[in-house]
Amino acid sequence: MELPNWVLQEETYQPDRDRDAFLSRSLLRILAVVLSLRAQGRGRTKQRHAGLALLLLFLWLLLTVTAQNTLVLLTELAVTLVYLVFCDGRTIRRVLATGCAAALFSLLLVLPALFFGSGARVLLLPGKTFLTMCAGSILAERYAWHALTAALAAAHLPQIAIFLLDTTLRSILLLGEQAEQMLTALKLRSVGHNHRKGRAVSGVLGALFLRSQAMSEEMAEAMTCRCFTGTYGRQKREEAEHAGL
Amino acid sequence: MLDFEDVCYAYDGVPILRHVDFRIPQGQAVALLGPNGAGKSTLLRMLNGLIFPEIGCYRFQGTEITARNMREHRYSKWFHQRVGFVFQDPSVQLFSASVREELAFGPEQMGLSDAEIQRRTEDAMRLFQLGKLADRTPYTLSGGEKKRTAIASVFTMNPSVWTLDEPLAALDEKTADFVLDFLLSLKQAGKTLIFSTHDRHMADRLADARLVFCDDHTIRYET
Amino acid sequence: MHIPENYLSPSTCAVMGAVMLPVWLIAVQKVKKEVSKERMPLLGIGAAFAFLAMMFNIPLPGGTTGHAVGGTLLAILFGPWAACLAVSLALVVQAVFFGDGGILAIGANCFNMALCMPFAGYAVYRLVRRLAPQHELLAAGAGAYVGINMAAFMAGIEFGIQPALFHDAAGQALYAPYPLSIALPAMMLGHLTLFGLAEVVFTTAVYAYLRKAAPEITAARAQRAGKAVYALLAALIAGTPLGLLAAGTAWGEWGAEEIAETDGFGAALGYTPSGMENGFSFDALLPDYGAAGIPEVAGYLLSAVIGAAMLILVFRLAASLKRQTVDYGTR
Repeated sequence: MELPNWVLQEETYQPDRDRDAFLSRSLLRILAVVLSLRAQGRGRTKQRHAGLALLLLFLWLLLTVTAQNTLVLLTELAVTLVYLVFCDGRTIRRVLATGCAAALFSLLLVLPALFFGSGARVLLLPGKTFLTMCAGSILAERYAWHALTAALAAAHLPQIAIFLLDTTLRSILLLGEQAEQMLTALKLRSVGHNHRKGRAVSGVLGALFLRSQAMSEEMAEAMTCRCFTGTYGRQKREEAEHAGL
Repeated sequence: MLDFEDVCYAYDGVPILRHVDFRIPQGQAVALLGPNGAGKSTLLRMLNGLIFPEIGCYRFQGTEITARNMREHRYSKWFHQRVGFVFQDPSVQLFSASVREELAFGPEQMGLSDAEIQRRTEDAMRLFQLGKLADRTPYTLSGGEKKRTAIASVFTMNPSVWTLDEPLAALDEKTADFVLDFLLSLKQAGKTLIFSTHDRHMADRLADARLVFCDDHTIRYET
Repeated sequence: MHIPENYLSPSTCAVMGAVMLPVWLIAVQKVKKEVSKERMPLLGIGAAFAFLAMMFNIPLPGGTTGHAVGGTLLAILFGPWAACLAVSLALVVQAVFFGDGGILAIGANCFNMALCMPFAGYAVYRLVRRLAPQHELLAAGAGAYVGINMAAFMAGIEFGIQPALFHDAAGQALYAPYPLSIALPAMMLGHLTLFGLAEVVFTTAVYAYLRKAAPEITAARAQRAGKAVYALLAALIAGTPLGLLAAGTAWGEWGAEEIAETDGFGAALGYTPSGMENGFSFDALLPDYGAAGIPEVAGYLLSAVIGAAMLILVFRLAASLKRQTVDYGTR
């Protein structure tokens, strides 16, 4: 194979001073972190009582949302914190990160109200957001998503809703890994001024979107090949029983 | 050119590389051999300055590659230009709107003249037979075409060290032969090649040296 | 001993903060280097102990109250730098979430209770141990007594120099109104007697319990807090409402509205210092370990649980971020 002669020369490239922060700090980095948050939570073993846990979460949310009394909310806070004390470090990190991020976001939302003199009561909202998000992510940390979707199926939720939830969760997981790899690839080749940063970033996003589409199509096909007809385990067994099999 | 001195690395408290020592001179072609999950990809990531040794050190042309050095943008950009990485899955490497833009991305980043960018892109498209695909979106290409585009997009940056993660995986015979030929030519052109592979035939034809990953997470260097 | 908001002039607070900043930096470095990933969560439990110890208010005749701190205990268990960090964090949590001690005064409070106390206590402990190697508890008790009095002495000085340095044209103090001649004896009297005793009892009792029930902790090689440690923590939390029995306010911790009438070791002041009236104010989550509309005991218990859990979580988070030590074996 005949290589062009510029290949034979050693590159003399010397980057000049670049003021804009490298791509690693861009919006995409955040996206990768958010997506990979999900991907990290694999390898959980506890699958039993997922239904009970879901019910508890539902009651917990109801209690939190309706609570007018600081005693209830403070007790909930104490329970959450004590539960976390007995979790491993990574779980603590992820649960608190989720809770604090959500609380901060809702704080931003109520900030104008605070300025217009609504009083400190409006601060209940970020507090409640923190509690609900913490509870939700504790559940997500503790149980694998298929245990949760199976529990939802047992609660006779419409199959299509579960299917959507199931595939979405799975896709988020896979897409997180994809996004991370794509960003690494982009970073490795972004060796100079990033005047085309916007285009590169939108390229990654576009590719990611197309990829997610292809992935869900492939998954649907793969599931069809494995005899999935749109119903989940338990319901299927019940149907089979009805048919006298 | 690339020196590993007693490098240890662990992920999540589990050792992946233990006391790894080797020295790859310029122009050598090195095959990484070992079962899946032995740490080949980890080593490739470390070679590219994406992760760093926990103990020991990795030097590129005498400079230690550390997290601190890689935060220095000028150095890390220089380093990433010198060391190219071809991913196992080409689709994660392609993000431009057309194959032509994909190939031009690297040279543009390097601030080369328009004429030079043009020359390199044309040369690469001729070499990798991408001429007809120039205006296609990389995403719509077939597996082999994607691989060729991915390699070509690194090629236009002309790195002096090529690292490749299983370059022949999932390729048809014709494309695999083409890639192998291309790598042989690179080697003749004096480039340093480091690639992981499960293909003995490829290792025999291309490699001057082998890094064999052992069960105890050490690496044996054989010439 | 928690100096509240606006008792010290902002300049005093700034000076104390400036002193503490490098101390904290060194402490973080030391703890990073010397406390292993496995032992870090235990330090959090230690911080929780200190937090709870400070909730047990003890009344002294004359209407003032005080409490143990536990700084020396932590210094004996984890070393003085680790104790400095742990007590500092306990004080920060108290100031920010429970309004105990001023936000601006965090530097001063940390200087007294997180720097002077553990270091002085630890030095005495080491000295006594060298003189009498068999009497570990005696050493711990002596260290604890000296430690808390050192802290009280410093607080007394900080209070006492305020009126001399900061007063208006009429001679009325802007911040803490009592001069050294009143502040120092007032602080020291309680701590030399009852509060010092409380600190000694707390330190030796907990230390003796841990030595017996969880010897791996006192021997500085604990990997994980056992049941005994959590049991003690739970017992302390359950006991915190006892701290409510002490009705009065600690010397130097009166609210701005009560200071004028307070008989602060001498004649009643008769005015509210202007720096206090119009000073910086901050609404904590659970001011004075309680909230409006909650029974006092419930508020106190919840505060104990939340504060202790927060401190443990902080250190567990720090531990989880710390790189795991991996055994790579030999070549």
